[in-house]
Amino acid sequence: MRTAFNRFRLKMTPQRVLSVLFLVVLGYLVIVPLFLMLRETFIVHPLERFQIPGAKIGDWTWAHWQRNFLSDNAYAFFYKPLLNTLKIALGLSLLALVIGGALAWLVVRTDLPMKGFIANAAIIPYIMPSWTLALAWITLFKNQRIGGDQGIFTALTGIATPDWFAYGLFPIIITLSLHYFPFGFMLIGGALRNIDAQLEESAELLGASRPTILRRVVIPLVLPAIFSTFLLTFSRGLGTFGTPAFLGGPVREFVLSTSLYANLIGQRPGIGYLAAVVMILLGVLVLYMDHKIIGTRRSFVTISGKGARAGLVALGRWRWPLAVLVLGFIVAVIVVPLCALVIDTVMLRPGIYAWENFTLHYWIGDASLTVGLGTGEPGILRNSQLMSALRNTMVLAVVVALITGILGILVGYAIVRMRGSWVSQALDQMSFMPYLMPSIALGAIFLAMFAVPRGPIPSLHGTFWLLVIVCTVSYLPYAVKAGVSAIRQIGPELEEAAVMVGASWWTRMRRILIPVQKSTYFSGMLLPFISVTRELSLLILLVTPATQVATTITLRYTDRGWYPYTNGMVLLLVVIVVGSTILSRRLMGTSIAKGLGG
Amino acid sequence: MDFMRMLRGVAALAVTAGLVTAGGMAVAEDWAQIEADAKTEGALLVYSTTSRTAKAAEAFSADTGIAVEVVRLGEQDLIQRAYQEAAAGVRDVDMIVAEDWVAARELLSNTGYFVNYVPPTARELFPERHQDPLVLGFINRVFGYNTDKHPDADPFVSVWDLTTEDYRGRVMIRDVAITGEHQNAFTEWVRRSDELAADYEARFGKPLEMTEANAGLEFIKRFLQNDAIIMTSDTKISEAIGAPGQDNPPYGMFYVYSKHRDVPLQDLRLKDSRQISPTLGYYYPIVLQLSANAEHPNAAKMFMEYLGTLEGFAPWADSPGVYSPNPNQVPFDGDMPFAWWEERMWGYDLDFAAENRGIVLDTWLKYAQR
Amino acid sequence: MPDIVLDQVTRLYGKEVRAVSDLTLAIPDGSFTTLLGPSGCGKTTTLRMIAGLDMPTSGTIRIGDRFAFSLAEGVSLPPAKRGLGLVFQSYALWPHLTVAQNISFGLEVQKVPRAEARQRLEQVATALQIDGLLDRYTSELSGGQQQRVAIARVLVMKPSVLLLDEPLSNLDATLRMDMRAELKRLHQETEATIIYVTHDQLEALTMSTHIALMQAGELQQFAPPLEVYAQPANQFAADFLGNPRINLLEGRVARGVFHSAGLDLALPDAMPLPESAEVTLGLRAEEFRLHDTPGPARAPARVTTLLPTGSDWYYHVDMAGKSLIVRQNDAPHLRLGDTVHVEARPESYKIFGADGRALAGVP
Repeated sequence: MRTAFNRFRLKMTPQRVLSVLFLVVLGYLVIVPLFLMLRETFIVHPLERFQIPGAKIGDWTWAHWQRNFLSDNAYAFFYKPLLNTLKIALGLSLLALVIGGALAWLVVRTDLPMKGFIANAAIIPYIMPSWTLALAWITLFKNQRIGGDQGIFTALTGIATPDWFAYGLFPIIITLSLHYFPFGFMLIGGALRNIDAQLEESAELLGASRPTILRRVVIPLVLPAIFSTFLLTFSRGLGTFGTPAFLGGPVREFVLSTSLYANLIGQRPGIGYLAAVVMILLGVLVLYMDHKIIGTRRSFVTISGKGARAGLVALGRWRWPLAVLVLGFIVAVIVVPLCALVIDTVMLRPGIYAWENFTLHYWIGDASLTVGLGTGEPGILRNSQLMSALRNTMVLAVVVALITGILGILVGYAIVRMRGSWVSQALDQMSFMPYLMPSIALGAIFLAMFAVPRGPIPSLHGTFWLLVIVCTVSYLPYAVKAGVSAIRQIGPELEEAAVMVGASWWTRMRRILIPVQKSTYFSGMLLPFISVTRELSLLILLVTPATQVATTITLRYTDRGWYPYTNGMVLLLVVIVVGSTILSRRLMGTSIAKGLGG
Repeated sequence: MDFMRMLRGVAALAVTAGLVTAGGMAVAEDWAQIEADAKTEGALLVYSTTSRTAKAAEAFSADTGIAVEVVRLGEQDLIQRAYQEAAAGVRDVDMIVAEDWVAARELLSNTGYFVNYVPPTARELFPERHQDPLVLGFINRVFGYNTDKHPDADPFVSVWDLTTEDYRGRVMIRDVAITGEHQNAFTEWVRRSDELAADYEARFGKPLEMTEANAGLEFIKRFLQNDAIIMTSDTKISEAIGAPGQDNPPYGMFYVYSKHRDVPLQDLRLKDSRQISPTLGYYYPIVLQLSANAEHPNAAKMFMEYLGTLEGFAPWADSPGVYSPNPNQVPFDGDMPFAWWEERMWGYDLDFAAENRGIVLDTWLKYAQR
Repeated sequence: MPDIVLDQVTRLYGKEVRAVSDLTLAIPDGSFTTLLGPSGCGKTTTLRMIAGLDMPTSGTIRIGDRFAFSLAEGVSLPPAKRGLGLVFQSYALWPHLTVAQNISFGLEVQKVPRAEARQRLEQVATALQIDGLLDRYTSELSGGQQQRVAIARVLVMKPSVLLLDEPLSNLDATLRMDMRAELKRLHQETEATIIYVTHDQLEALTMSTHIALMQAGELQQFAPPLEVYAQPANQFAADFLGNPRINLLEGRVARGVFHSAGLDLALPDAMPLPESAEVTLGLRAEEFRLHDTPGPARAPARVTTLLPTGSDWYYHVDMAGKSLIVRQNDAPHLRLGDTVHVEARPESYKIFGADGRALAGVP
């Protein structure tokens, strides 16, 4: 008994205490919302009671599950949208892999010109909101089906695009994969960079052809990165709503998230959350497969600096054609959508592309009820509410980035140092869960959880800190990924050497573990930073007039069709985010790729 | 959302029952006292589905010195947020400017979290049926077409036209699945199935053959099977119909009439149907409600009063398609008074809508997938 | 300076894996004790438990008269309180710090006054001949220099016990030879107890005063190197030490004579082996003579390989189907395929029973 107690006492090392602490906190912030969400799917809500004979509000019921999985209409309600969702998630993941992988290979392993520029630009599509590409697609390729002005492609060529090309799964997959391919680019690029060139060279000496080397040596080596990319993009594909609704509606192809939104809007949260639960389960399934297939193989190659960097593949006469192709691609997916946004903000009357129509009214104009759209609003840069919301966004993004960054290090530390124990596994998987939760559902549940004081936690309702907590939980997965990969590259002896001379845990953190991987930690903060600036559905239920952020305040303009304001705000955010990314690279040597563990 | 909260809601209802009757009884109220108290209460917090509330609030603050903060939320976000906060006992919001009263009534009013209040001007001037719930204004949604294609005459005769071959793949509607008011409106089509069926027979000279339970749901089915185009915003619909220079422009169903404000600004060739039977579209109220737990109830009452006056309604009066119940409000230039629309358009029955909108949504979801 | 005493130390990983099993070992003060064994034998785990980086599942560790670890006493001294210094296999130098910062980190942590710290840093740097490198970052150093920095970082703390975990494994062959000598010199100069972990039996034999030979988590033998070499406690010890590997001949004892593969070896009278016992005899390569002519106690064999090393000659010979390695230091006159006559001339009798243990009473 006493020895058992002593053993317990002596084992209370900082990493154990920390892990248990994180288990408890994450449990509260991740598992409780999950549980609450699941519980809602078994409860009769006010407007649901009319379709469940004899049910009263608050009763327990199987009806939602029955409706979705077993009813006569289950195919239309559930299975068809599920099928579409899977097609989209799968298609977008594969395409993002192919585009990202090809680009990564070109940049890392060949003598392609202008690599630095390409590498920087390839990250921008992720910084822009995903709907900009959907909007650009419609502007370019729409046909008569949805009326309005002609699509630019048709206007130029006279060829009418077919419906399947202009709307539905095809463009959804294309535009989403153009948004998410930077994940593939960063992760696979990172993995390619770590491959010892000798592995390739020895294959070459054995007479293997280039394609064979790629297939038999390179791809297996970057397989963990490929799976990581797949996991990240596939999960996002499951939950995405905006682009599928916008591009799918005209040809009536719907996804699982439609069911989530439709039923939340129809005030049938039981049915709505059921869709969310299915999305989470699918994500967990992919996560599980990832662990099964890659699991042990993801032993990290510690960057050793040994083994000369591979002689780059000479592209020969393909060098310039490929460069032109890649640049064309970048222009198409980055420059064109951005320009479309810019043009929109400087046209007095939308859609009329003439010099007389050029204006800076929406940027710096006075409030007016007669000029242009007659909004009665001052221009963006002179609009104090917009500017203060923008300031809030920046403060929130910085605070969340710092907190997630620090948590990422600590959780990553606990996960890596406790490797092999169930605690480490639980932390690892729990910290990824928020990535799988649709943010609209997460926002609603956090609202309910934090509106009242619970135990030691006071009511955080309406405070800035609630926004911070929600964003922190939501973007923790990115930060933990960065933290894990950073700590993994620090051999345990580096820390033990400090233990030997009596350095406390805090001293070790401060003097050894954090400085050694400084740039990786800062990189881990970039993705949360970027994501916060774009977040809407998570925050909409939680902001107050004082804590309005750029995205929530922009709603009032979107709402009335005043797109110059909406687009102007998006542009400002993109400029700020790109600017800070470049700045932090200069100052800290950060790169988003490192932030993903690439 | 859960049973305990419902219980608490019922308790709150009992407590606040007094307030409701007090609001209803004109005699008990000393307006001067309310005004005096309001000045001492401090800043008012309003959740609103319409962004123009912020405009009105500015003018109100300038007049009275009472600060008003407005949070703009989508219909369902507003209901969710107000409901969750009230259930948790948070006393932030003082009043709401809400839409989708069918859902809001279930979650906010029936639970006792929010109560109706009728300020003096509304009590004096508004028709009684628009006093509970107190209506800020009505919004109407219409059918529309392109005047380049149809320069002389309105192409529509009956709503059933939209289910015919001529309109295959040419009619746009905002996604019913994500539009609560559309769901409410279609319940009226269910409730008035007989009229709808009679309209079919009058139009085509033969009885309506149905596979669905009633003519309302039958319409949804046929409409979707006729390759309707589902959009995500009313603005996109009105612009798509009205853009000049189209050979084969689409038609619109149930887009907000207020978009006609943009017709001169954007040179749109857009017109709404004034003859389609049996309804020109639908109308729905924007509702004002007072929090049962308001910390600034008197300031809220003053703001509600203000919104019922012509001055308070001014931010909405700058476009067609929004109608104050105040009979002194002059319609927007070129628009008709609400009474005209009310005669030719269906609203919806709150109880029937609450009971049936689930069926409407399910029918929609069932046929929306191709 | 203290003895280090491990008493019945066991380390389990999970429920099943016994990394170290019931290890009892008293490491004498001032000794150069090598924990020797193949990889996975538990030697590094043992070292880490002594250092305090790992905790035994049961058993006690004493350093001097203090418990460093005892569950019953509820004691587990933090590593820094044990008076030990540990040099890691990978050196574990901090890449973001300079050599000087690496070395003085511990002094800073222990709040040693600045002037004294500076003096100790210079002293140790001079002793290890790295005083010219103090401002470099560790990535700019060669392997040997890194090794010295790692040692300096430990010595500057003036530990009474120095723990070294395979410190030479990352160095090339010549450097390794130099470092061996240097470590031995270090031991003599500092008079510190050194506990040294390696899988290289040659390092163990050349440097240690004591060898603790381990296999599968269990201590096989604890003795001075030449004793382990000459009188291995079991077949594993005989097999693991010595280069080339020991020849193991299975045979039978009859009337005081060992018979195996045509070879007869008369055992000393003092060896009380039972009649007809099945035993294994260990003979090192140098314990043979090769003759051109047959004779008593000689067995014929055929030469299969010739391996000159410069000073010595190694022969592989086939003796009635049994392959032996034999070392001779006289000039070769044998060629492949020649027939030779093998005579055993053991310096010590290494005889093992069926269970692999050395048989008692062997002188």
